[in-house]
Amino acid sequence: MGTSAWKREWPLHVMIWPGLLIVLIYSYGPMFGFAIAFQKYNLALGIWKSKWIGWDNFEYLFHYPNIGRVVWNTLSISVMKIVVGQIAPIATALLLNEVRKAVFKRAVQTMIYLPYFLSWVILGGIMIDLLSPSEGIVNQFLAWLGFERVFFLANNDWFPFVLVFSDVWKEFGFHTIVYLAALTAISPALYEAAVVDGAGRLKQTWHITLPGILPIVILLATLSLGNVVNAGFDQVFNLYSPVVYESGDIIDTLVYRLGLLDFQFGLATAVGLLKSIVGFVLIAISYVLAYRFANYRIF
Amino acid sequence: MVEHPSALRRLFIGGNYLFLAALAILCVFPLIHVLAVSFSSSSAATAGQVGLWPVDFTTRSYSFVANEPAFMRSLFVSLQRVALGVGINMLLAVMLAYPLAKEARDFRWRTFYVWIFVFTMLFNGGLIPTYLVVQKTGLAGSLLALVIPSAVNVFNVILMLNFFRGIPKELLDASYIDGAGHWKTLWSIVVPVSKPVLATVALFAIVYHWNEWFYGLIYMKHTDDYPLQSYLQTVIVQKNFSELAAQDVSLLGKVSDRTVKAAQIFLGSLPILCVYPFLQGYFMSGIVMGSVKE
Amino acid sequence: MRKVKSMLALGMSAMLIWTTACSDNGNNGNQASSSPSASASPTSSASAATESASPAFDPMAKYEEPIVLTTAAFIRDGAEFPQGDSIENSVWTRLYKDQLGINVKYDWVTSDTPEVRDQKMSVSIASDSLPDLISVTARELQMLVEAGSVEDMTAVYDKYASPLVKENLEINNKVALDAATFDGKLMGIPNTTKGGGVEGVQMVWVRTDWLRNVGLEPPKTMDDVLAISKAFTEQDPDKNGKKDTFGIAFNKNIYDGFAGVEGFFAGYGAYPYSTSTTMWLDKGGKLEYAGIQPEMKDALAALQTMFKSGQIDPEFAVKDGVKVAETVTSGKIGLYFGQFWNGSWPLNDMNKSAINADWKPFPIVSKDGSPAHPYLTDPTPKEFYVVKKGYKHPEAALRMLNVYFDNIYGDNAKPDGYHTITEGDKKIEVFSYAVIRGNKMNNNIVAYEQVTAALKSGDSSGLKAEYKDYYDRMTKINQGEIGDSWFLVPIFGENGAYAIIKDYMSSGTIISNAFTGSPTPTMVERGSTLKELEHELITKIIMGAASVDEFDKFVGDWRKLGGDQITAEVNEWFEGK
Repeated sequence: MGTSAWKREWPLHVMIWPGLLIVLIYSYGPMFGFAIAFQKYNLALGIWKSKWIGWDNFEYLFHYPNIGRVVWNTLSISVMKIVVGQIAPIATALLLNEVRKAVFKRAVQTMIYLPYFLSWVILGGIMIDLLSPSEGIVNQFLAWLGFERVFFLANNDWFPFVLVFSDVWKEFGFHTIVYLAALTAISPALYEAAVVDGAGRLKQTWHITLPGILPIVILLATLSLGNVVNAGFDQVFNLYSPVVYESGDIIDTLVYRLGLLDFQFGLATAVGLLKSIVGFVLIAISYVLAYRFANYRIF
Repeated sequence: MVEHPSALRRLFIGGNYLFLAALAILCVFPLIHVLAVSFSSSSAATAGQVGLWPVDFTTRSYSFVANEPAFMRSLFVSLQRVALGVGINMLLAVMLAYPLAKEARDFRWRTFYVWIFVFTMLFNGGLIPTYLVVQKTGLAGSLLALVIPSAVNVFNVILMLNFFRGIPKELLDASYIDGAGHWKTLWSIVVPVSKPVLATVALFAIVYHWNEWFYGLIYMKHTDDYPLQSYLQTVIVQKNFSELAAQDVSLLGKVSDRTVKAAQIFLGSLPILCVYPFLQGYFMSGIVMGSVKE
Repeated sequence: MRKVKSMLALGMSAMLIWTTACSDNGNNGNQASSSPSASASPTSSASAATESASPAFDPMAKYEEPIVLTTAAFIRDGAEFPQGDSIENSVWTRLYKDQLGINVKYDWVTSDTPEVRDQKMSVSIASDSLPDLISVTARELQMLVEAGSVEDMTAVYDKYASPLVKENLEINNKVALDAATFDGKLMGIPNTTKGGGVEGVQMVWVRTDWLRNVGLEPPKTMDDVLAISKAFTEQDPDKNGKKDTFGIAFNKNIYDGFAGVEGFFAGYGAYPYSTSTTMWLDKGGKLEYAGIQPEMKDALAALQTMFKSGQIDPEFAVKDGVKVAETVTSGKIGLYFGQFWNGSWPLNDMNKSAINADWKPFPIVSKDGSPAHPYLTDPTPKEFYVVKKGYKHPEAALRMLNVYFDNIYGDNAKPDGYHTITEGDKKIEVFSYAVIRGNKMNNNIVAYEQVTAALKSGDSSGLKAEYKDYYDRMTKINQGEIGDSWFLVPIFGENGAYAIIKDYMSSGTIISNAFTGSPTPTMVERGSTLKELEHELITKIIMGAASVDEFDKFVGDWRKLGGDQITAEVNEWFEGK
């Protein structure tokens, strides 16, 4: 401590303050809204005058039949999405990195980013067609190979996988961009040295490339972990139906059916609050773990 | 690199090209389908007959969308929004990432600040409280409402700070020794060598501001002020009979949902198709980046 | 980006409600006009003219000092305006100013997509920035009344509403006004453009070309329906040599105005319905929930059998209305239960395709051939106009409504100019830009009667301009020029949907929802849960994933999880009537 430290550091503080101000006003400001979770909220009465009911909303939630099933679905689908959703872009980025022809590389990069722009409303319709047991391409292909047809969207065993793979397909282009940027940032000098040492491409990948992007992998994985309670409402909503509630109903779709249609803000906010807490705790744990064991500060 | 690729290597390269090409096509074909629908007649679209090629080719849905003067107006609003939004987003991201990338000993409060920002990634007050705040600060109804509250994107900041960390200390030290302060160092040293991450963040920001439509509809008071995607939302016939009664019986027979929606999607992704190849150039220019371990 | 997006979904992820827009949960009431180019003209409706004696004061008097009234608008796609006009400057705003001395100002104008509308209303109510006059949903009305945010309109309505307006708002035993009455006070003016007529009843739509191909007649009993369904599945009704058709169509929402189960169940004496409203039956003075009645079982058993034998699309449970519409328009379906408006959508699209489908609507049927009971799940309008508390001139709303009715339905209604404006060869509908509106009940039924009569006699001289337009278009159709107007035939034509509705009305077979109040507390709290339970059960039974006997278990669960409580509350309301 001492004035010289402050003298060095004050520009850094000043750089932060504009962003901090905005965040304080527009992100922290609205947080008074969490009070709604404890109220029987009436839009017109507002937060100050709506009735306070304490933990009632939360109790209703915990006692809701099937809440366990729903939480389990959410977590398991999310985790699968996180894992597969990291592997795919990493692999793609690595493969793209091996491509020399710039035009091809750019073309592929652009094309794989495209599914990101399609909404699940559209994709849902397309997928229902694709996976149709009678006319869908996938099933026709299966039949051609000699397998039995599968009604994917109505099958509780398959449905989670449908969710995971279609979501990865839609989003991996986005992550690949980040990984590619990370890859280009790895110093060519390292590769040159490796070549001199006689290392083949595979060895180079293992010893240079992967470690080089490891921090980004950890970063994205951690941030996804914070998102693990979300599991993708958009997608599930457009693909599910009562037949697959058992394996596909997630927290958000349940909340949707329960709360939002009737202006049940209290309940929806309560759920949101819980989800945020879980997500935050997970991120905090990851941060601490990464710091303790790998001496790496994720952020 | 290796001078004479082995047979195995050549096989790999060939296979790689094939695989990536197949992957790319897999990703592209739904969009092609959507494109085909947008150029098809409404009855063909409703009957689900459109595959990868338009059926009953017609540019009706596009002209329906583009002929409205409102379309051009909203396009202009979107361009403004993107320019303003991306500019602010990137400026703040850079200004936040630089200090936060410092080590604790160089900047004692960094961890504290970082957690303040990270917290907001998970905790959000909700639409109504946010609206109230935006309204009380006088932004409701102006373009600023779409640009200021979302000005700090913590994900982008974290991405950037990780990259900044990788910049060799020698570069920065040289700058300090030359008498440059933080501000000057940031702009004359750090930013120029960070093109990949800047390009990445710029891309994400552009995509967000171009496609975001919901807040446009909530905060703007008049249809004149809508950005493009918000405007396009109003153009689509909502075949929702559940909560509304009485649709005009003949209106129902008009423009098909799907062809116009398809045109909308296409218009939504168009700028990215144009911008992304341009930005990719920046990904190619690497920076000197050492190990990130502390 | 993604993080931001997922944060925003918290709590208010009703963002996705709009996806329900792609599903049809039909419930249509009247509409102001069924033709895009009709113009109002003096009505020759059956109601006695009661306006000859002018009241002691003029309810449409002009304010001497112009007053300001704020409102807001939700406009829909493709809203067209005459040259130079906009919603803030339309024939109506000018009328209000010139004739009534009311300056209308729009606080905001935004899109009418359902979820945007709801969210915009939510933030407006929450930020206390509702305009002076606006149309709100029943649930919003409830909240506003509870908070004391809206004016009591009882006295104002009595004094200022014109006879024409009163006549229209008070039909059917004042059920519309009741819905807006709290503690004996009228807190809002029903918005009759949002439902409240009798048109939301079921009928069965059949492809008569297929009937001919399989040698069957239109259905007179449920057994006929079952037979037709079987034939359509097994006997290759489209004669293409392939077994690629289904007997009957349902969509994943179960209850829906297009490919819903309601009409089917009605054939078995069951009248279930549960979406945002629920169907209640008057059983000897006590109200009971329709969805737990024993008659449901027979219908469920029949559906289960049909599914098993392939008559129902095995994928129906994942297909919403739009997707099912695809199967219809691509020629896979020949029979389903729906409502009158199906003629416009999705069936109108078929007209442009290569398939020569001949769809016709028929009255629903019962097991034994006795008259079946179509049922009206929403006899009351879904929205109400409210006036912000403290606004100095609540009667302005009624004045504006009077003027609307007068100009559109009154004896001196101006044909061109308020309903539709002709610009060149384009007819632009402007009636929906009025700030406060209403539907003349049963306007369409009258239209049907008169046009049919005129077509028969060839004499169209007595027709109002609006009806004359139908007449002209239908004449063209009869001459082979169909164009985009095919839907007029199954809807307004002889033996069309309106003929059916008219028959229902005159035979008194329509069962109206006995519960027309606002959602009770437990309904608000548990309604969705119960609805989900029901929905899941019915889907499972149809698909054979649950036996029909599980219905009994469902009834028990329903009672326990809040149903009994709701029943008590509903009956409390009923007794208080």
